[in-house]
Amino acid sequence: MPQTVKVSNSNQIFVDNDISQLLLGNNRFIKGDVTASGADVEMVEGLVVSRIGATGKLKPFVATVVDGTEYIVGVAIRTISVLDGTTVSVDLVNGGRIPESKINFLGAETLATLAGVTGSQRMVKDILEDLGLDLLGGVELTEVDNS
Amino acid sequence: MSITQEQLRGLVTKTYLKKYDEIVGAPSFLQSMFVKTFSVAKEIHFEVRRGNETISVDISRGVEGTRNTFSKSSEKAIIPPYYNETFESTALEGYNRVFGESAEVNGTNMGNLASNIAYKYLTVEDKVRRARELQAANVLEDGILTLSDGTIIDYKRKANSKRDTSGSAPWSTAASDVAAQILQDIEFIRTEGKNGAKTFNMIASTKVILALQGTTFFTNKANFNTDNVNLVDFGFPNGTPYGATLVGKFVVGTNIVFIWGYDETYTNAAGATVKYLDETKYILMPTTGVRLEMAHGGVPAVTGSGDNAMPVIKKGEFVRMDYMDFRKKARVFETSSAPVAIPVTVDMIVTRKVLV
Repeated sequence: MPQTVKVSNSNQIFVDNDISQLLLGNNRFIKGDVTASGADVEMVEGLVVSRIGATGKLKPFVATVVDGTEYIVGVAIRTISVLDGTTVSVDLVNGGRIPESKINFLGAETLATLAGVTGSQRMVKDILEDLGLDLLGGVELTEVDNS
Repeated sequence: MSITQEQLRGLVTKTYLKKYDEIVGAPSFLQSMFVKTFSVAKEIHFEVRRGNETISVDISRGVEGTRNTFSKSSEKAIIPPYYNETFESTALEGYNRVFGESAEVNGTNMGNLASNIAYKYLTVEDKVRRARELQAANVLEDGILTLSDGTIIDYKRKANSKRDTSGSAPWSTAASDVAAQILQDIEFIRTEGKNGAKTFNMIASTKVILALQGTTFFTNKANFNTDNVNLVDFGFPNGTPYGATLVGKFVVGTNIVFIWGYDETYTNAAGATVKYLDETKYILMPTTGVRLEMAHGGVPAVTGSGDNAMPVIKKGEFVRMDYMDFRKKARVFETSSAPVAIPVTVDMIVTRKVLV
């Protein structure tokens, strides 16, 4: 459950809670390795993930990179820090119901960003749905308090 | 203490006609709006889940319904300020006839001693009541409590709930658009505080009310009287509003504003007389829906005596104890309290500075 500490001193602590779920049902999963090279990699819950064609390793999707990461394979289901120089096995969801609001990207990409090989690019949203993900909309009826 | 001439003259030469022991009560108006709660815990926790005002959107028949989620909330933990006030009744005190006491030891004088201790308890506890009133004032004025060591408890009131128009359109200028300012504050309470009340309580100083009475708005539009005011409808938690007066009401837009005059003062640690509320500001709150709490945390105490003494945590508005200090030959009386004023509905309070 993501918690964000907004105020913390000797007399008070204010924490914002978010209990929204990524996995909403009928989900399907794959597993793969993430190798951090040159810098730590943050595999945040909901992060769109690609696979490097040459190595088979997973990597956060970046639309402008053409090392194979243009091929989206799933969405990270848990927040994991992969330290520089290490390889960690991570779980991705690539099928079933997930909320669209939980999807996020490493950079400025959005669900409307075009991905794939130049000439046959498609929107990320369509690619995720082709994988078998059912992206659900929704209306959040609660908010955090002042903090 | 040296021997005074009066002591030498003895009892037979003088008679006390009357004694007047001044008891200065603590104002209770601001804190009466805060509901008192008590717990044994050191920390006060409360959770807030704010809502919004989304409306339902129609969909095609047969498609999946609109999915709603309830995911967000805030949890807040506060350690209340701790007040511990003590006084002593010493063995040596028996030598000194202090205030209206006879030197003779008898049942009456022992009763006097007991009532004297009770009086001292009330007096030191009034200090704490003043501290609570100040907490309430600080919460209503800017949402920040500052402790003696400089640390703060900040309830993070939004900037638009603390406006300053003392430079651009002060109430000391007759033509200042008072109605526009108040309506802006009411709009904040409606949109950010999500409170649709149409009646409001305004707390203001004599200085602010006098300035208001000098404005064109007051002269031409405000219906400034106390006719037909029904106190039952005010929505304030029950309490004695000592320190404030209902001055009147006026209409602004489609809203009714009740004005409470409040000018109470206290003596700070440096000995200076200070007003609880900044006399250049007013405070505006809806008459219904506001939730303010004076939460009391637990305080350390000891139960039993001798070998059976046991440290415990007790809850209460005041927790009293007394114990012997054999080195000082004194009986020490103390009272403890750990209150903290909490604006649970923080966006239903607006403060505006209207005078320089």
